[in-house]
Amino acid sequence: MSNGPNKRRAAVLLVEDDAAHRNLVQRAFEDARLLIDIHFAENGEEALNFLRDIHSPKPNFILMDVNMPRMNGIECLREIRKDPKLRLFPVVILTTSSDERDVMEAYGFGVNAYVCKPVGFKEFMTVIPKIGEFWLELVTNPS
Amino acid sequence: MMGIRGTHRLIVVILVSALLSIGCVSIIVVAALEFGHRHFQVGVEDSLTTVLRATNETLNLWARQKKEYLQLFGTNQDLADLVQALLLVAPEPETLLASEELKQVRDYFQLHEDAFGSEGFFIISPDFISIGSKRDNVGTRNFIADAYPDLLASVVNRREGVFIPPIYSDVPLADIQVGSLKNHPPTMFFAAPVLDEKKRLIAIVTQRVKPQFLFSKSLKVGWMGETGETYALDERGRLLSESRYAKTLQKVGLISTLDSLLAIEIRDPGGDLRSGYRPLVEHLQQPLTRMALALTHRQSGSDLQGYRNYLGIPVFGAWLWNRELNVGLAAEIQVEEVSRPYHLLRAVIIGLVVVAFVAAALTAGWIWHSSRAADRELTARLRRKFISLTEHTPVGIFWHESNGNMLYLNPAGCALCGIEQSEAVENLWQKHLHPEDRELVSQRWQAFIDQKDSFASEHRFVLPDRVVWVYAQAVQEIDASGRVAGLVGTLTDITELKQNESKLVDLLRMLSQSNASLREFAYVSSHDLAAPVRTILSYIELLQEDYAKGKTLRIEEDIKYIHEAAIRMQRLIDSLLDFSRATNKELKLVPVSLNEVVNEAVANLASNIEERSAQIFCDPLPILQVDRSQLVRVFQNLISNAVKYCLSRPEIRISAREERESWLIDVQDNGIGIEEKYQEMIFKPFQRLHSDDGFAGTGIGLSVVQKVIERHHGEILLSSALGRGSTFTISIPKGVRR
Repeated sequence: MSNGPNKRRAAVLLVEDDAAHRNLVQRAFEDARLLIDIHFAENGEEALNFLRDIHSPKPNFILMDVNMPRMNGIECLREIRKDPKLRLFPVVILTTSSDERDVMEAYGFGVNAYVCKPVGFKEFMTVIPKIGEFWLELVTNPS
Repeated sequence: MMGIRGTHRLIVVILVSALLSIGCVSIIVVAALEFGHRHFQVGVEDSLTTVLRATNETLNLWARQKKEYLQLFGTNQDLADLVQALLLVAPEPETLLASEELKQVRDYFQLHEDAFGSEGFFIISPDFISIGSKRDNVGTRNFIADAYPDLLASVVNRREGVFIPPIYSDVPLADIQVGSLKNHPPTMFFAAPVLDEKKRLIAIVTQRVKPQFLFSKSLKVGWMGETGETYALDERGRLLSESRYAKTLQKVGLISTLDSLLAIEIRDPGGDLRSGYRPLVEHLQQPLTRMALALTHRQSGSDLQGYRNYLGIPVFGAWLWNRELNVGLAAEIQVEEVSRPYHLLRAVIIGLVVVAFVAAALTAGWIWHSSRAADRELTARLRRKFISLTEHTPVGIFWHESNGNMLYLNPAGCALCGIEQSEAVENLWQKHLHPEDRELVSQRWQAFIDQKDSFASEHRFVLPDRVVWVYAQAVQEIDASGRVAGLVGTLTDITELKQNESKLVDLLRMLSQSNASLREFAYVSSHDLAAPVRTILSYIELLQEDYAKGKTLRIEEDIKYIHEAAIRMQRLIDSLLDFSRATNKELKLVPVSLNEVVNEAVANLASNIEERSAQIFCDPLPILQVDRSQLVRVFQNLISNAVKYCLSRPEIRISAREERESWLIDVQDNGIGIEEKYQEMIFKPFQRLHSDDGFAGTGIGLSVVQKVIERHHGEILLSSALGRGSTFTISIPKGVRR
């Protein structure tokens, strides 16, 4: 919307093991007409590998599920916050759990936002564009 | 115990009432004796007075007769004529003795000797000169006039006969000393006037009387009993009659002859002369006796308190002053004699009372003794009962001295510890206490001793063949004076209780683990089931949108996602059913050949195995008591995983090892292996290491395996490393446990 032609095209890293969900998020961004590059990782390990790869594009923020095989979202968050090169990336947790303990745990490890996965695509369409607007426009990303 | 106390109280009551009755009886006896004593005194007084009066009357009668006779004699005219003639003779001894007149008078008396007596006479002129006598003591002043001038004067004045008390004849009274004139026997007289025809007094005639024959004789009649004495005294306290104790008086030198007349004065020597007492002061210095003192004052009276007589012997006495005879009369009797019956009576009564008391005391003593014996018998029986109780009680009982030394452990205690009494007493607490419990027990024991509290502890004793858990309790044994006499306590075997307790703790832990895993299972399963539902709902919305917009490619995509999610749900539900079955379905334990089980599992997986060209090598396996279908599920899941998580051609080896109590079955593969950090996690339900794209699965297969093996009381272990394959080892116990 407000991206100027001189600006680098915005990017997000979506960490999600469920292909159906990855597709949903992608469709939501598309339908909101946010011009954004979506990179995918299937679990925490892949996400860390992507972020640490100097050839990978730097995402403006990370949108991450919690319940994933091999390395889950919380473990991955801890790794990101421990790594001096990665610690300033904004991380938004997008998960099905609304359990307060899970929310508090995530904030305890330094998450920037905690969002419950909406039920149904219409809700996705109300939530996802707002996340995009906020993290792409209002926050100054690290260079 | 109440019985003993009751008996004691009864005995005390009996003793107290016995003492009270003794007191009452004593008072009654004393009062009765006192009354008897009074009565006795009155009786004695009566007797003494009676004797005294009788004697007095006798004497009076005798004296009156004598006086009347002499008075009559004095009125004889023949005598008067002879006396008239004699009065004319010169009153000089020689003249009178030579005179015919005196001779005629003497003849006259000779003539009347039968009636008058031959003892002697005097014719005394009105001026008290003896003018006639049987003997030659004439022509001088008559000695009666010296001794009793008043009596002679009354004869002259009143013309009456009088009695002249005993005197020493022919001796001036002033010279009379007691016992000094042995040759002058005492004598007494009656005197009467001699009257002429005109009844005029011309002279006095006296008749001499031997006191021994009349005076003493009549008094002797009043000698009562063995010691009673009646005697006459003159106004100076001199004895005028014979003494019953003349021999004693002679023996102690108070009189020279047995004739005691006028020989002594009635004085108290101060002690019993008969028993050898000799006074320190001479006779005349001694005090008059109570009686004699009263008579010197001419007083009548009596004394029933007792006083000492002239022999120094305690006597009762009564006395009176005879004015007619001018003598005192006394009746005395020794206290000892008259009191003898009273004393005898008193002795008998007191003796009887004493005997009664002694009998009562003996009876009380016997009752006391027999009750004590009964007490002792009861105590002995109780002691035997208590010993028997201690020896047979099923609880260990110990007893320590107050300094801590053990003195006793009962048979149950010895049996509990499995050691001899001597060993127990010496070493139970020192040697057999479990080293881990030693500090705690000794702390509690010390606190118990210091704070006089009670002791309780659960601890172990190490015995030659086993370790027992005991519950020990102890209290201080306080004796009647409040001091600590010892420590008594009990030992209870709680080994079984302790074992059950630890089993219970294990069970509780298992239960809480099981609860936690159930909670987790419910949470995880609902969460995992919710995920495909959300996916389906979302894609149905997209499908509607895409259909409306006619985006055919998108529609196909949407349907694909919906289909996949539904399949995932189907699989999840199947897995849940599997897990539920593995957890809840009742096990049918029968001997099953594990080789057959493996064969069936392989048969069920035939298409997978064929697809991957997997090779399965199975060694001979044992026959075990297991649930066949559940064990098939176990091997099916393990083999399925081994085939699934393998990048090359799967090779699976199944072998068995026998241990002491169980069989170990190894299922080894050449798969991708599992990192150590995930090795624990894989057994939890719905935990998957791999996303759906790589390896299809629900994450519940290994949970089912673990559950089934646990229900067979076995274990499942994993040995694996990333890239080196995995070996799952199942242990199943040989024995059947339910």
